[in-house]
Amino acid sequence: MSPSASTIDDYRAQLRRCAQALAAARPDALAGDVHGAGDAARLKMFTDGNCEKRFEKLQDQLEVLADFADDLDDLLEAYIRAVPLAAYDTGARDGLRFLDWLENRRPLSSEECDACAVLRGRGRVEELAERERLRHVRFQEALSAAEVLLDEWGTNDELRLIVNPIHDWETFRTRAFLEEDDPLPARVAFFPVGNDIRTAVLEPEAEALLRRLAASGPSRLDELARRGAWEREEIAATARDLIETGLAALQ
Amino acid sequence: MTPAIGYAIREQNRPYLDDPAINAAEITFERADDPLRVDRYVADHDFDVVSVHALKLSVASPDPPSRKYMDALRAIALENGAESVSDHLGFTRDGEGGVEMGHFAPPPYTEAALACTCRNVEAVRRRFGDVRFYLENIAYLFRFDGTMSEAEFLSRVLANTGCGWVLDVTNVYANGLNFGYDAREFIEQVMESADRVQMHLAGGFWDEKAEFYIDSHSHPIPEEVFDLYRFALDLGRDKVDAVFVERDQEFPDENGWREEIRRVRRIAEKAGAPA
Repeated sequence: MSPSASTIDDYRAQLRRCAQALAAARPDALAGDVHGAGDAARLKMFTDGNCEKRFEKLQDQLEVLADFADDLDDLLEAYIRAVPLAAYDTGARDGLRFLDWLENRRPLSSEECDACAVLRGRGRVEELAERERLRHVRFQEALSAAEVLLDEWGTNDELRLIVNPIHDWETFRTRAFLEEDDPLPARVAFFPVGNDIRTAVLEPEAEALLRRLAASGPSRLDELARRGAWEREEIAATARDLIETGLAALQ
Repeated sequence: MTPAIGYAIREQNRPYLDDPAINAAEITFERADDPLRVDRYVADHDFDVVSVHALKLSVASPDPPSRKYMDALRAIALENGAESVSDHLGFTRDGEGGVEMGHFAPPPYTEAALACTCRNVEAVRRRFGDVRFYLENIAYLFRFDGTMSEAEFLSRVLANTGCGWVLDVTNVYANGLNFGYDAREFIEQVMESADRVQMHLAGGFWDEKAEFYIDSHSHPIPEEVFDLYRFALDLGRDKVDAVFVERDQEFPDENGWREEIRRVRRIAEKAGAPA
């Protein structure tokens, strides 16, 4: 005989109480629900172990912030106590939620803001790659072949330039993650090359070409030259830079 | 018939996956589900059996797992030529939109938990289609009060749903030691209800302070677990499809990786040989 709807509702309430107590590291709240004193004592082992693993994952993910936030470990402990993991949360999403929590917790230095921008830029690229997985894989295949095709770029009129579909932008306001000669504030592109996420500060022409390409789709060199105000050679050279950076490829 | 033998893939054992003793591999979903990954997680290996091991189906939760999560699991399985997906008999969250505990806990072994678990397993099986689903017995630190034993609960889930069983031999050993039950009796009871079986083997350590065996996947497989493995192979005979060795910490050297998996294969071959 199947349990009644009210029995299932009771089970739902029981699991909600248990999961919320364990997720919030409040094992004492469940001492009466488990078998005997030994099991009750080990509830704490369970929550301690989970908090430790979560702490280590966050530390790992937020490493770039550690260089600027001396109190990061204390903040992580406070965050873990205050904000339970959400259902299905992965390490990456938990880290991004920490940034939201941090911004409401205390003012951030400019360098800390840039570190948060690094983490958010990476996070958005990962989300985009997850949503557009097929396009990501196809572009990376094209990119791996681009080195060979690059020799023909400028002479083979059939080759079309394509943009890395997985890219996003952030603005850095300090030199914490920039070269000495980069402008401030700097627009920074985030994009994957293989399994890695890279960043680049582009020359204005390169950024303009990238945006034009993103709007128009795959384009031959003569099409790009017709549409823009630049010389064919200028476009060819800028495109070559984008390909070598990993923001464009040929097909 | 000898079951397929292999490791749960870790970066540390990838160099040895072409060992002649290995013809299977287990993929941990949370490791393979990297949105930036371009190549197949199993790379160019051509294993006889590949299985995807998940952590967040939370089949004992009151709500079924999300379609998004199930579809992501199935996609990784198809991409890597896996014939099965497995997860643990436990709950990691209270329900959809709720909180995640970070690790699975055993459900209270009650009729209500059984009904929810069976319904969720059936939802998973429907969603996975021809990708077979196996449910693993977990090692736990505590048990909620319930109305039946873990063995009865698991047997009834297997019988009611027809899903396969991942017999984690080390988990049975650990729970038997920690909670004072007979590991062989447990295996005997559940094996009767299992249609198909995969096995997990691993090694943990005895924590003197806690007076508890910790299933840490950090040590070589203990002799007692090898004994239980032989026992389960004899009992399971033609039901056992694959055996996977798990190691997550204190990784061995090349010789250690190769010797352990070769021993696992030798035992399986001996068990499958005609008397």
